[in-house]
Amino acid sequence: MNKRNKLLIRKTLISIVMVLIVIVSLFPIYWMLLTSVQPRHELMNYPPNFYTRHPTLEFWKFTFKESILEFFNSLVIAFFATIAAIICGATSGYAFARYKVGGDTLPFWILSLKFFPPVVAIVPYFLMMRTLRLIDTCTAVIITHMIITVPFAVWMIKGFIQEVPRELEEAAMIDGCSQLNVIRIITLPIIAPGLVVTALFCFIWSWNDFMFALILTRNKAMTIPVAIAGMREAHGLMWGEVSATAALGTIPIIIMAIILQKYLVRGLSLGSIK
Amino acid sequence: MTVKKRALMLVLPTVVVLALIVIFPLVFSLSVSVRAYDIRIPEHPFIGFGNWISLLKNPDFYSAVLVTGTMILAELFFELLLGLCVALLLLQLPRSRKIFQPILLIPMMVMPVVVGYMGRLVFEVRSGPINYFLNMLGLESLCWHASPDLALITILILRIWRWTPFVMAVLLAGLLSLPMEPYQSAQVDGANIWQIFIHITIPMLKPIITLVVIMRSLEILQTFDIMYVLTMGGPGAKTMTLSLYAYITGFRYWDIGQASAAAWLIMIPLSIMVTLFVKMMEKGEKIEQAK
Repeated sequence: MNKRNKLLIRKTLISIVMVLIVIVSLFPIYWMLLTSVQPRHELMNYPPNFYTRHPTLEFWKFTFKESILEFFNSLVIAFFATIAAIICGATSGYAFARYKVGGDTLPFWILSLKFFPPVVAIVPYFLMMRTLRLIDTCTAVIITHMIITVPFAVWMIKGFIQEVPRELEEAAMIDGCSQLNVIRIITLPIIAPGLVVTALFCFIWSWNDFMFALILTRNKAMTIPVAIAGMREAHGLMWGEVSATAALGTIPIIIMAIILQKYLVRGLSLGSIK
Repeated sequence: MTVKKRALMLVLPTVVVLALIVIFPLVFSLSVSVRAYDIRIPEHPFIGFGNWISLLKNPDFYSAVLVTGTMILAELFFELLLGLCVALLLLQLPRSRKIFQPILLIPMMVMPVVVGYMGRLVFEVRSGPINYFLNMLGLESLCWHASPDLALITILILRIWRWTPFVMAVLLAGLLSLPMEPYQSAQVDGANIWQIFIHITIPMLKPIITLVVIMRSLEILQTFDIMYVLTMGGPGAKTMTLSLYAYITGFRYWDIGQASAAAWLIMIPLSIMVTLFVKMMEKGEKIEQAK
């Protein structure tokens, strides 16, 4: 009985510590959301308000009016960068996993490209897109985002396909299924969750990218992160407006992360931890 | 043979696309780095290693190396320490872990630009909540990112806030995958918790810790967004990292040749770390196949 009590006390203490850690780690996000719904005259009060009695949607309205184009651009860019990655990833991932094309060298070369530093690519891409007159178009940003999304997708999908037992495919083949049908009926449904996970990761990466979009866009193709960084320079500090835009850019990603939960570590560690 | 050929056809488009979008900028940037590049003029005369030499003679470059190095060491230390502590605490709560873990991972999903902006918000000098807490404790308000002494620390706090969840999640996954037998036999031998931790947990976690160290170093080496929003490398050059330095040289001062040289100098330590990372992954894959 005594031992059980001790254990209970210990667990309670640890839980209290965890709750404190949770409060610290969510506080900045709460503060940003609070700033986005606080009436203007309450912002920058001292002492600061830790909650508001008069929530307002003024700043959110502003964001939906002023940042809708940037939001849409981010969506288009992330969507196409993801689609391209999934197509490349599914085709070559399958070939790597099943036929060992290029042995070990080629897939690992592709994996290493995941770490290709944007800062090396920005100068040549800026000069090239300038020559092609593609500056300030979504196309330019999509192409550069593929540097990161494609290697990631190839690597992840290769891992997911390797987990499908080969015997399953072979058995279907013996039953007279054609190769294409085997992929369609057997392999694809099994790796479907893996494809979704990979797609979400590519989407998040492209959505959060700042450096490429900063250099390749001006205003027509500007993305959400660039807009947030620029609002500060353009209008001085509009705390409420910037907070609402930042929240709008962050919330979809947090929702995706919650969907991803189970696969989060696997994706972030590039499949090294399952 | 035909099967092999078909498989090759599946891989070919991806390899061609990647070669085009990756090798092209590498070669191009190397060629820009040995020229006097002025985007207003169509001619770009070859000047040999001029850009590289003036970069290596520039004290600002070394200051950026120092800032980046400091960030790598400080972040690795605090993120591993905090990440391991939280992971070990979560290990003690098998049931409520499923609630705590996803909540704790949220900071990692906030885009870096927004993290920088949040820093502006919570570290606000006059009425930010952090200074308010300091005042409540009877301390003076601090200038945080505007002060030469605290700017780097402010950036580090924000980055540690964002990235510790990643380290924690990977370490926790590692801890959960450890075999039970060594623990049981150590308990039989009468080892205390501390001895078990030092002699069993840490050695068994070593491959995962190495992996985390490499992945984090790679990311820190490229860090850019938070400083861009919060300090632009200032005050002075106290928070000027290598990536930011390359960006400012290229796109503020329009010295594109030197920016390319700086980018290439980031590539060198980066490639070493990537090679290490790939080697580790290869080893992991071999172990997996052997199973």
